[in-house]
Amino acid sequence: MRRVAVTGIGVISAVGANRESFWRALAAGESGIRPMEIVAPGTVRFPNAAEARDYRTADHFDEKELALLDRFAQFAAVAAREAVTDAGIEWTQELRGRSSVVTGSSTGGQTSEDESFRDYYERKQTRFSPFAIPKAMSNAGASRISFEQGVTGPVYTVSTACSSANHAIGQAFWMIRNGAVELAIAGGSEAPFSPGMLKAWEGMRVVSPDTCRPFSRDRKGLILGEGAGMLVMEPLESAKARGAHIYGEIAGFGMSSDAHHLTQPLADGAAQAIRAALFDASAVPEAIGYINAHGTGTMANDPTETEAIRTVFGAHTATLLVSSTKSMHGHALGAAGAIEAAATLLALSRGVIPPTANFLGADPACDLDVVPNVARDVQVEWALSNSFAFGGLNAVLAMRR
Amino acid sequence: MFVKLLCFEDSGIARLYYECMDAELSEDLQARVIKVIAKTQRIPPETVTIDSTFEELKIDSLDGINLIFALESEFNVDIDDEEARTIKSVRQMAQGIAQLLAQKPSSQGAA
Repeated sequence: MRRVAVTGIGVISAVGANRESFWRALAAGESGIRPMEIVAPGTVRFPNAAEARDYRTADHFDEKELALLDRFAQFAAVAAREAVTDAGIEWTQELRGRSSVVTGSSTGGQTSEDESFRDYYERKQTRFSPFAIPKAMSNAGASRISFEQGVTGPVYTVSTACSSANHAIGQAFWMIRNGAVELAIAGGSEAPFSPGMLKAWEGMRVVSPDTCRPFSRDRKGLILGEGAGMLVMEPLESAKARGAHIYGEIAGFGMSSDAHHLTQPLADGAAQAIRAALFDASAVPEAIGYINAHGTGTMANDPTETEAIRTVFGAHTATLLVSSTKSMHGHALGAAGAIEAAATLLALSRGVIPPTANFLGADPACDLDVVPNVARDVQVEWALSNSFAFGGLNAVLAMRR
Repeated sequence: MFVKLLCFEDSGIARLYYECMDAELSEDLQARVIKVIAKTQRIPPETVTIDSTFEELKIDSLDGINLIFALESEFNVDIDDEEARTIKSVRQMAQGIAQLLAQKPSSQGAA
């Protein structure tokens, strides 16, 4: 089986609209959580969000194009452009046919959908734009990337709520490893800030009234985020042969289902996915130095994730560094795994572990070294990135330097 | 008179008062809360009593917030997220609703 290298990274997030500003913020422990601006204040009870403030639509698309591009699809395309440029890909017709795009998105173009439904229900407009359907479909981001890059191989979208991007990256990784494709652009994008979607999240009562404090005492829930992460992956040998810069390798992918409950997580399910990723990577638990946690900051996730980690790693847990970068870029749902894979690869490649920001003090139910508030200069060789979705769907990526 | 006594800013005092005054939860309010729970959970109303716990009624965390949503609509009140998390029984739920109704200046006695 072939080894799979990551040679390009693109990011749009609340802590920067490109890879380098994203990494600078993470390494400095700076949180991008601020009062919400996209929707009118008072629309929902929770006032704060992790919006991609530095992203400027006009820098990337002309107005004609935007009629067909929901914000989530814009994010996907722009992050993919950054990743492809970063990787220095020189497209040939042959490579385009042997390349893949796999994206994750939980809610797709729901901002556009919300708006068109308001036209109908609230503004009593009787005609819909012909763009409403293709703009809102969840694969609009993947398709846009394929048009822009000319990729004609397998292109599709995975939608598994908060695990979408990890499932997408895992699928692309396996396709390269087994020789089905020679290159993949994979990740996720999400733009969940429409009034309708925010009201729905308010109804779930899992969003924090202040900020996101994963694993901390006095944590009050998650903070919604938006953005995208895209990786360019290719066989390690080809990457070396063309002298590409290599951030690290995707070394294993593990999935599981809790088969239990729509919203209540189960430690056994999470542990099973972590074990599956280690097995797929042929790695022993003791090899892992860092885990980029799912770490949403909800009452339910953090102790369950802690229990899962303790179950798999036993005594080795004491030496593990575990941080949740959602404390800085928020929970970008279907993009979360991709933004966090970018954070994990940059941590491996630059020898810095990003912290868990907004940490107030230990919660005995989450007794891990969560790298509170300040990044640590530690070079680890192997890392995991966890994603656990509503519906009990778990997806874990194993990465190495 | 009973309602006016509960118009304290400090809800802790109100809660303490209520804990002593369980018997004073109006029968009408109890009946409405039980009706909403039975309807939302799709269970016969006679299986729900003021002393039932959520555990006994097999109400899990997601059912619990769905129930709170239904009760907010029934009584036209807003239940705080933190408060919502602590509610584990029908009595706590009814007490919370009574307290919120008491705090609503325009709705004494009515929903």
